[in-house]
Amino acid sequence: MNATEWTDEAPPCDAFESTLALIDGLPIAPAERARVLSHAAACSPCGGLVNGWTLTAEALRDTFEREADDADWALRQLTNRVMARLPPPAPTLMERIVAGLRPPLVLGFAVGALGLVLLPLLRPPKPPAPPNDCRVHRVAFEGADGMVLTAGDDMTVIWVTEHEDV
Amino acid sequence: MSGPSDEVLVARARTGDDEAFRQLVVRHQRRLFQLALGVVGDRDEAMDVVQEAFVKIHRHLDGFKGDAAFTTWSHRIAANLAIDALRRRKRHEADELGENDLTDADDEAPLGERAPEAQRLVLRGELGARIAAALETLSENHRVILVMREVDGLSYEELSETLKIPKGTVMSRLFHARHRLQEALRGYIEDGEAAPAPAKAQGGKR
Repeated sequence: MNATEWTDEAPPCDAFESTLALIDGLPIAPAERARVLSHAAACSPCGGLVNGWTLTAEALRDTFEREADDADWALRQLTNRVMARLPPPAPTLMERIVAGLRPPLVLGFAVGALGLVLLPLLRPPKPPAPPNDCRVHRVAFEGADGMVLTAGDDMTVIWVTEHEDV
Repeated sequence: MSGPSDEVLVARARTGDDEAFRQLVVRHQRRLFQLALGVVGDRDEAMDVVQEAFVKIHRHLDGFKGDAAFTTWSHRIAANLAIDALRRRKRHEADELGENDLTDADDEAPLGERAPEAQRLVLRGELGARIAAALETLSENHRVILVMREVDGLSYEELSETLKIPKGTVMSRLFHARHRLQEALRGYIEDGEAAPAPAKAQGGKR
């Protein structure tokens, strides 16, 4: 294995992939693991990577965990802000049908209520009921027949029929 | 992970179950926030990115095929939005710099003596400041892959799917990103002059 200088273009040596796997805790065969560790002890760049990265990664994780802890309250607010921005759920088929029927129904109810109010006003007035104490009796007067209708105390109607031969 | 799986929640959310979508947001927002913060470097901007990401995720739930994990899909959306936000800001800053150059044409101070721009990425504590400065030196791609791997814990396969790059490129990019970050932190972490204390012991939550 050839240890070379670190560059942006190329890994320092051919053990680079195994070194990464070791750092990332990926499953590698025991023999390969031993090979990489042995290499890292001799190869300064890879050794530095293995030893130094553990601390660096830990520092990175701790820093961002702390930031997220500090932002905990703001994150809870964020949940509410996200939910407030969601569009209202689409109506179900039944809701759409009911919504479609609603205007005619409302109009129908309104017309019905108006009719109930106006109907008594439009109906013609009832004739006065005849008095209950109406009496009729026949009379004969000087060759003429007549009828007398008496209703109540204040109405009397008399019919007189004259015969031609009188 | 307790409760229904992501797949179940996505299926329910598709039918209009907002509570299911809320559970997805609560479950994933922390990791997406860390990813966005690692890329854009500003807490408020990272929050905006995460918010936009979830709104976009909700809008495209029907297009989510389910052949990738929800984690992978959501990370890809958030990473793209974060990179977009970062590029927008850089363009804006470049435009402003251009305008300032014009308006400050008579400024006596030579450019070389002007104060450097403040670091955008602000993380807490001395360690945070060092890491922020180190991350600032990385490219967008390196920042994204480092945070996804080291902070969010995505596997090589997930990284490959999320970033739509071959697994070999994942390894190579990760390698270079790590190397550059280590270089930037050299003398701090390796020399142990300010050994990073465990986060939980540094003051805890506020």
